[in-house]
Amino acid sequence: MKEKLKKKAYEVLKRSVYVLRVDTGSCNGCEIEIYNAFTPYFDIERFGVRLVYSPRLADVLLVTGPVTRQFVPILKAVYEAIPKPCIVVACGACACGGGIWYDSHSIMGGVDKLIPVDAYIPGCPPRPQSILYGMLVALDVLAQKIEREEAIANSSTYKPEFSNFEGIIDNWELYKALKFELHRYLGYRFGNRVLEDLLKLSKECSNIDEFIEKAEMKIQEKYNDPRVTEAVKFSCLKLKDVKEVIT
Amino acid sequence: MTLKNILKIIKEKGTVTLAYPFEPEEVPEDFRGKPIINPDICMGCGACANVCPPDAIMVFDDFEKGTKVWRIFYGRCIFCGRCEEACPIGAIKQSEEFELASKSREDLESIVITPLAKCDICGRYFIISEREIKQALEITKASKTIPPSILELIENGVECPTCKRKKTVLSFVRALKPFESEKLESIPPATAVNLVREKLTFHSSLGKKGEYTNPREDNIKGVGQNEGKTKEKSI
Amino acid sequence: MNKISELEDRIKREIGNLIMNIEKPYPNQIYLHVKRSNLLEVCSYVFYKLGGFLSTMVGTDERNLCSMFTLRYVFSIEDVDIYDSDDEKPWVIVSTEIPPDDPTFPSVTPKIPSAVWYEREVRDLLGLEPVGHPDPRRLVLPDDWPEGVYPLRKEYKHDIRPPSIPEKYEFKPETKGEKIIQVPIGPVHAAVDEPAQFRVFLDGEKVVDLDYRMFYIYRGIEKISESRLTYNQVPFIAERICGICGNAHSCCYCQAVEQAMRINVPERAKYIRTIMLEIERLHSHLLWLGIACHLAAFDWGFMEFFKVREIIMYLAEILSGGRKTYGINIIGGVRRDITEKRAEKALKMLNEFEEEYKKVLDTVVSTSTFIKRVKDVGVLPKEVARKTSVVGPVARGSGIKRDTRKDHPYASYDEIDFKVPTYDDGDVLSRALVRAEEALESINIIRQAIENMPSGPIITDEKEYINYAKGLGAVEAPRGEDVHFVILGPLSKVYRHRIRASTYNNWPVVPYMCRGYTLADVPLIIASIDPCYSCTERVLLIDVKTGSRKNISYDYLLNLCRKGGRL
Repeated sequence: MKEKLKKKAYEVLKRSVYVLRVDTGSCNGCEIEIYNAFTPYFDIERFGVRLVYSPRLADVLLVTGPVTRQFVPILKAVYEAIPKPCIVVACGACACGGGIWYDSHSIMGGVDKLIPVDAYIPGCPPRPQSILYGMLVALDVLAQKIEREEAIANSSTYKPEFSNFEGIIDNWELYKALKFELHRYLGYRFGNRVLEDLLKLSKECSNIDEFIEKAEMKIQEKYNDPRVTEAVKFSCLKLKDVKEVIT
Repeated sequence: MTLKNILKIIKEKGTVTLAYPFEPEEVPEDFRGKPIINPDICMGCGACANVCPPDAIMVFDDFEKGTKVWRIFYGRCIFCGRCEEACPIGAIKQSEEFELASKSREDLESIVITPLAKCDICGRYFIISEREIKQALEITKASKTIPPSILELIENGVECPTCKRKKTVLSFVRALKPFESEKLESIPPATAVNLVREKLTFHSSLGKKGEYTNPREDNIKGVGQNEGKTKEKSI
Repeated sequence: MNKISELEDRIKREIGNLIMNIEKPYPNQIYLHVKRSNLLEVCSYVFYKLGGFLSTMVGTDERNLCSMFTLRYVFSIEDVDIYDSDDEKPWVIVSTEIPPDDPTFPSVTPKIPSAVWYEREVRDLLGLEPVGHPDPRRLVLPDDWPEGVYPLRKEYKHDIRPPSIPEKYEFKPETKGEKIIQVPIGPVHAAVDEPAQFRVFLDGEKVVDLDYRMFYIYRGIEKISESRLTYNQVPFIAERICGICGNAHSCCYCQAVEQAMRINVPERAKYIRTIMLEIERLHSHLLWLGIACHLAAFDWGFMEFFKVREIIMYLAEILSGGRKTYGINIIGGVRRDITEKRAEKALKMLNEFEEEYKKVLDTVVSTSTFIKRVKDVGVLPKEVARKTSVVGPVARGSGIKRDTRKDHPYASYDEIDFKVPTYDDGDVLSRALVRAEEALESINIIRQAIENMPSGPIITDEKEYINYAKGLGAVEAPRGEDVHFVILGPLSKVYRHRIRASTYNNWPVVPYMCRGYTLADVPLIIASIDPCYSCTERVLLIDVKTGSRKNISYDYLLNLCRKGGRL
């Protein structure tokens, strides 16, 4: 794979590609990641991609930022000054679709409202590896991985979640109490992972004290982390309180 | 002196360039990458669309065709993770993908289409999807604090907000019918409220059956109602 | 607490007749309500006699609450005779009301130069005219925005885009002369940047004055926070105000809302916020040091600083999921926890980072070419710094010891031991040394925070939602003090969100610092206040006398800067 990629790169990019970078009002996060992509750590210059500072010399226009109203005439002037054919790459969430301020009063809402765009690099900000990949896709060295997905969700074949609560956690209130208590201690992502393990375990236990003991042991074994074990302990104690209140 | 230092540091370090893209890149645990929806689990509740700050996730209802279209546009996504945090059943999760560059705008979209539920009384589509109703049934069955009368209510049939509103208005009208001859303004407000409350029947749908009657029997024409399409519901 | 009541008594004694009433909604904030006509006198008193620094100024459209516009001037009282540098200091907020049929107010800029930009901004966005302002030009809105349309008024819907009107922005120098040449710089830049247009007025090779047209990136954030987003979604837009100090902005907003809702953030969440704020300070200071080396023609330092910085970026990715936008703050706490394993990994990476950073720093500081290039350039004297209320390393490099982490403690800084480095010379070298030493202190703070982290939850749900409650939050971002002011509103939205980024207070000082130096020093001086960006690009030299134009490329100007135009 390595050799094939190298060969393709050298075939397609027979000479260096000159890139002009224009910031149309971004917060600068994308700028710094582009800057990082040109440092030796990620090194986009291996592929002959170089930064230049004049529109007359450029082949590729790399735009970041939602186009602010103040910047509209400048972007148009820069686009007209670049000799065609040129490739326009929109980097970052603001350039692709307007970003988090897509409907503000002083924003045009994305680069493709003014000039035709050839490649989009989503991300906020995109990692330097993403930018590297995006430039290679724009230059046709690599094929893009993402494609449009459409799915139709039938309701006849639908199997709802929570269709069978078994074991210790046998009703909706206990499930909710455990889930939100784990979120309170570990955050939503880690908490959801621990919740799955605990649900599996609850089906094998017969009473709540046994569950609490086994839960601590199993979590300590799997994650080997005192903070996670402590969080599980507190959550299970809260579970016990809620169970007493309900019954 | 300085040059010697510099050369020493360079010799110690060697090459620092990462091997990407010639070798795949590993991301740390809990990296916030592309959010991916699982169409088998999603029930179309729209909680993710509610919390998404840049409105990258949007939900469109089509009441003619009876579909709810869920759409995510990765171009505007800020990869914050609020959708995963808000989803009640874990249908959307952030994966580890970060190679999302694309040459066309259409490739950056992902769509899921769910069917909307039909009102059992007027037969029109309304804003809840069928999957949500099934999920609500399951949760109600599994709950210890929701009264079983609500379960019977859902199992008996689903009614759209317009029909519910109509029921409420009719209950008020029926409650105030005995006072038609007197002028309603002459009754002090507190008395009027108490009288209505005694006669009020819309709350009774939670407990007693048999209070709701077909609007045609009361000779009151419903708003925008087509005679032929009404289903007669005998309770 | 005692000092607050002393302060209140002193105010009542000395200017009690000018004040309508005094309010104290929180333990260390005093609100003074005054009449419009007494505004100048009361503000000067607070600024000069009480030793206050102007932190921010908020204009609000409260016509549907009390049928008036309101203005609030927020001062941070830091009189060195009363308070030690390690004490907590109070806020004094002077507020006044302006009737809608006569939207003018007396400008305080002639006496307090730090208010110059705030009043121009209120004029642009709300239509309140400062009478007596020395420079009432448009500041924030684009040049082709029609007159009489004010975006922050409540009747303006946030997504309406009015049609264009042709208008030109006039650059004005303060000093006039015959042989002055104007050199425009920008707005498309080559270095890491914000677009901004600078005009440098030269006499031969010496800089006589500098003027700028900023706000090319005005995106209407305050209007969006009030209209489309709920109060829990605003931390995400606050994070994208700035590319380098985003986490500080979202933390500041969360603190302001938590004060208004009287939420007690759990202890563990405060420690996690501290750790993430210090990680951000590290990566920002290293970025600045790299760029300073680049502009001073020492590219080896530039590459090495960026390489060492990658360790911190990777650490941030492990702890929060993203390299630059952490997305970790939310009202009531944080969204992710730092488990023991991750904390151990963080300590290991910090040790590695400290070793390498010290090596590179020692080499750079002992390089005489670099030192000669930055010593005695762009001097900012202490009195000018005091009058213009500069913040951050710019203030600390001129001998004024201001640091929000000590003056208005937040997160868990009151339980951690650290020093605040200060230098007295006021040149670019002092500011560079302040930043380099702060980076070493940050490592110390992170270590202490990880070792002493308490257990407990990381988020809390208990809050009191009082409509129209006010909250003020301040955080020390890498560039200086960030202040956010929030008024809660109905329907889970924020009624007014006022953002004051740290570089806002520092920009008005740049023309002063550039006078008397050469064109080649301008990039370095502008970069030394660490605007979220540095500057310069394609330069157009216009000879005023003959009208001829000459294009200079970026390389020419950069070489000029690197060779050191000054002899």
